[in-house]
Amino acid sequence: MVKKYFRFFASMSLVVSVSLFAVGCSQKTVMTGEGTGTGSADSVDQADTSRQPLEPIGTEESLDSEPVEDLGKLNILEGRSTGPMLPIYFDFDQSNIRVEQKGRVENNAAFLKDNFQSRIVIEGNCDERGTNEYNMALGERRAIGAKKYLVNLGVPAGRINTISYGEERPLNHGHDELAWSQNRRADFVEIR
Amino acid sequence: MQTKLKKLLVISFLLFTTFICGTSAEAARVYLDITSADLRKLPIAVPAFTDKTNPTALTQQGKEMADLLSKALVFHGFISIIPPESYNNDRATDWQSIGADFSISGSYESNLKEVVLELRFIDAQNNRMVLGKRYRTTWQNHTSPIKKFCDEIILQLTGERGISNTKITYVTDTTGHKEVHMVDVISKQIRQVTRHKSITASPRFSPDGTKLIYTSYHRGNPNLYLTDLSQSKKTKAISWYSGLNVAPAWSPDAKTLITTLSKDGNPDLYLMTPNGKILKRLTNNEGANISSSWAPDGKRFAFVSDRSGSPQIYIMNMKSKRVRRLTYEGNENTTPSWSPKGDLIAYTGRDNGNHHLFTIRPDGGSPSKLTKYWGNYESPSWSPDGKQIVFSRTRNQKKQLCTIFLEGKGVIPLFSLKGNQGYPQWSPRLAY
Repeated sequence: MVKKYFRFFASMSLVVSVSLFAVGCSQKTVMTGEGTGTGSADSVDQADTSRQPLEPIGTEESLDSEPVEDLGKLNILEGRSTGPMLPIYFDFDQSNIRVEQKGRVENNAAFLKDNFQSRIVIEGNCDERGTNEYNMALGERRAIGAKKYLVNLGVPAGRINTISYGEERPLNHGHDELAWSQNRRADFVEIR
Repeated sequence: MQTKLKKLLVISFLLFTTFICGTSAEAARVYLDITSADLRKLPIAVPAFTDKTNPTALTQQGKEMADLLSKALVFHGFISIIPPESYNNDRATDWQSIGADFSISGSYESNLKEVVLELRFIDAQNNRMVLGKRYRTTWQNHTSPIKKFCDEIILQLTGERGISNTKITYVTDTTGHKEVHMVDVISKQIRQVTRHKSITASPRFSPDGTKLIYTSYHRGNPNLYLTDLSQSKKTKAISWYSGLNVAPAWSPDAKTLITTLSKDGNPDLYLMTPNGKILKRLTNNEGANISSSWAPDGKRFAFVSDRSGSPQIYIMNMKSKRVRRLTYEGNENTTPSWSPKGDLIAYTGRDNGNHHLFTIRPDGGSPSKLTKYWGNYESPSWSPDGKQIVFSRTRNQKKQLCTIFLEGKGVIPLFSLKGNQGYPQWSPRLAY
C-alpha cells in the first residue's frame, strides 16, 4: 500500500515538475490548462472541453472576456476554504502565521496528506486599509507563508499553488475591525 | 493692491518681451509665478466663438467651443473665467471694464469636410494680440486644436506648456467588475478599456501614452497585459508566471519595465522588456517588494519594501544596485511616485490610523504632508507638468479620484461617478 502511494507520488511529482518546467522555463509555451476557461490558470484539467478554448496565452486576445467562474464554491466551511480545510487569519500588515492559527494549518496538512490527489490553491487576502499594490504583495506573502508551512509538514510543494487577491476580493464587505480581521485571511481552496 | 500692481508689472514685462524680442528672448522672460500663494486668479473672458458665415448669431457650437477652452484654462489652476452671461456673450465688450486681464477671440468656418478655427489671445489692457493661431481640422477632431491653443496660452503665461491633452487611467467597479478605464481631464469623457469581467489592477501608460500595461485576473492568475490604445479590441499577455505579475513601471526611455513577480517564491522586483523577457532580478528575498516608480532620468527608482518589518520607501540606483531607505517616519509608507521634474517623491503614509499623501525630497529630509482633511488618501500620481497630483480619496466608504495642486489648498474631485475608483495614473502629454 505504502509502495503504491509512493509510486503514485513519484509519477505525480514527475507530472508536476514537467508542468512547472513548462511554466517556469519557457513562458511562451502554450499551456493547455488555460484552454478550459474555468479561470484557473494553473489547472491542468484537460477533460473539460465543454467551453470554447481561449486563445493561447501570450498571443493577441480579446479585451472582452467570459466571466470567471468562482473556484471551489463547493463544500465551504469557513471563508472561501474547501472543507474540511479551514482558513487562517493574520494581524494587520503582517504575514507571519500566528501561533493560535498553526493548528489550522496542521489540520489542513493532515487532510491533504490523507487526500493525496487533492491539489490546492492558497488565496492570500488583505483588509481594505493600506494601498492596493502593497496589499497585493502582502497577500502573496501570506499565501506563500502558508504554503511553506504545509510543505514543512510534508505536503508536496507541487500540489500547492498560491494567488494573492490583495484587498480586491473582500469576503466581508464591512468597514470595521471585525470585517478587517475576517478579510486578513489565507484560504485553502481545492482545485477540481 | 501691491500684489496686483506687481502682477501687472510682470504681465506688462511679459508682453513687452513677447513683442519686442519675440521667442528668442525665452530665457529673459519673466513669467507669472503661479505657485505663489497670494496670487489672485487671472480673469479671462472667453465669449462664444463666432460663426464666420453668420457673425452676429450666437451658435451652440460656438458656445461649446468657448466652454471647452474655458474649462481647459481653468484646469491649470490660476485662471478664472468671467461668466459669458454676465456680458451677454457680447464680443464687442470692453474687456477691461468688466475686469478681464485677457480675452479670447475665436471664430470658425466650416464646410462638409473641414473646420477652420481662428483663435486669438488678447491683452485687455491695450487690445493687442499676444497669441494668434489658425487651425484646419474636422468636427470630429476639433477639440484637439482648442486644447493645443490653451496649452500655448499656458506656455506664454507660465513658461511651461499646459496639460489639456492628458488623460487619467484608473480601475473602477462601476460595471460590477474591476475594469481599467481612462478619462480625459478636460472633457471628462470616459473610455472603458478592458471588459475582462474579473479584477484588473495598476494600469500604466507607456511614456508616449499610446499603450497601457495592466494586470488582469481573468485567466485566474494575475497576469500582465499590454494593449495598444489606438484600438479597443485586442490585448496581449506579456508576463504570466505563476503568482504575481503586478505593479509595472515603465522606464522613461520605454525600453524596460520593472515589475513584481513572485515566481521564485517571494514578491521581488524584476527588470523586463515590454515583451515580458526578464533581463534581471533586482531584489532578492528581502520582504515584499512592489510599487516601483522611476526617477525621470532613468538612473534610479523608488519602490516599497517591508524588509525592515514595516512597508517603507527605498531608492535603488540602477547602475550600482545599491539600495537606500528613504522614509523613516511612520510605520506604513507606500506607493511612491517620482515627480516629473525629479525634485520630489509623493507617497501614501499612514498617519494616526488614516492614510494621507506626503512628499519628500529624493535625498531624504523631512516629509511634508499634502492632505490635511478627513478621509483616506492613497496612490498619488503626478501631472506631467508636476503641478498637480491625482489620487484616490475614501470617505463614507466610497473611493473617488481627486486632484490637488502641489501649492494649493483644496482637494478637487475629478468627476462624480458611481462605485469606487482606484489605481489612478496620469498620462504624459498626448499627441494633439
